[in-house]
Amino acid sequence: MTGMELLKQQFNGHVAFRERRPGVVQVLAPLFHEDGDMVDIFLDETGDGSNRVRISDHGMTLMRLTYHDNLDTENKVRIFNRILVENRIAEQDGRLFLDAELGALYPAILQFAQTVAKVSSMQFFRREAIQSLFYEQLAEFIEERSPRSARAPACCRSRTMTNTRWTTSWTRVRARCTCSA
Amino acid sequence: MSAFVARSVEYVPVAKRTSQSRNRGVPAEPRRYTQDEIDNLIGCAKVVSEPPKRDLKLDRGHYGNDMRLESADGKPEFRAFMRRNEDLPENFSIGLVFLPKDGTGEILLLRCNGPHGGYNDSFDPEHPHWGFHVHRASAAMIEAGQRPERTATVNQDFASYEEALQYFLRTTNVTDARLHFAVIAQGTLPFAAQEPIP
Repeated sequence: MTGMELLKQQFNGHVAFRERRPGVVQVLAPLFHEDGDMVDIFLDETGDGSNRVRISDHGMTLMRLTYHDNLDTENKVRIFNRILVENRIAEQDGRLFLDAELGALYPAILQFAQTVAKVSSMQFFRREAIQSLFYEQLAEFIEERSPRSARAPACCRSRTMTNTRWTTSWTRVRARCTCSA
Repeated sequence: MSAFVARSVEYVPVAKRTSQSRNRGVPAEPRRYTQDEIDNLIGCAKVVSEPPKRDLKLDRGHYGNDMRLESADGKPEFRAFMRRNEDLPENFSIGLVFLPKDGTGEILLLRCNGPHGGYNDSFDPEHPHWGFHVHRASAAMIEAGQRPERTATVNQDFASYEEALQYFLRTTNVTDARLHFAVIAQGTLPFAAQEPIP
């Protein structure tokens, strides 16, 4: 049984293969991005006669990521590299890859697809998403650190917090009572 | 007077927060669009506000280029991206993204793609991903909480990156495209009129 036949059996028949280039076969598996596109997974022959195959994305993961965001800061690159290292995926010139034994293709492909999904989720690091999180975290930070007595105006200390609205700024915290009392 | 102006955010205690009140400046709820709004955003006349580079630039396994657009009346703003895979150049993507100013998050309106393949097309011949196809945002998908551009249809108006770029610039109505794209300045070959696709 060849590696691909074994892989088909392990995917319970729900996988197909298409040759995209000589020695490069695309895996058509039920693994999808949020926009409905399939995760790009290719099997490259190593050409050395060994029992190994290279699972690669041929640069498609980072290309797709740039539809929404770029790896344009040190922090993003650091997180990207950490995702790869923790999932034992290598990268060369933007191409993610994993070398695997033919007999272990199924778990290797799932591991690869999972890593692609994690890298793809870095699109949420774009400025607008981070900005939204920043204000939320700032509000929580101030609320956690401020003593209750200092936060609530005198007229509201014995009441529930329902009617009390808070205004925060970069440099100070002040409470403004909006209750009708 | 200090040049730094503190930005105020009004909020209520955690237990009482709602998605709307959590961040006044950055709405948490996705904005709703009608299909007419989406179609108008795609088709409204646009001009290039930040021009693309002369050529696609290679970066980490793919060639890329970007530009900024604004509508002719100067209100809605957009960005457009052009990407082409280095190893598999038939895997390309040209997209239009709407940049709302109300903080509700960008919306990918249109994406023209090459035949990158798909799982379902192995079993469903009507599935578009094995051919040249277009993802177009739909109000129904936004309403359902899905990616706006999730639906895709086969497109027979282009069969290469260059043709897809022309199709994209036509569909998105970039009125000064000739100034920035040589492929447009050279004119369009009359294949469509002479060789209608059955």
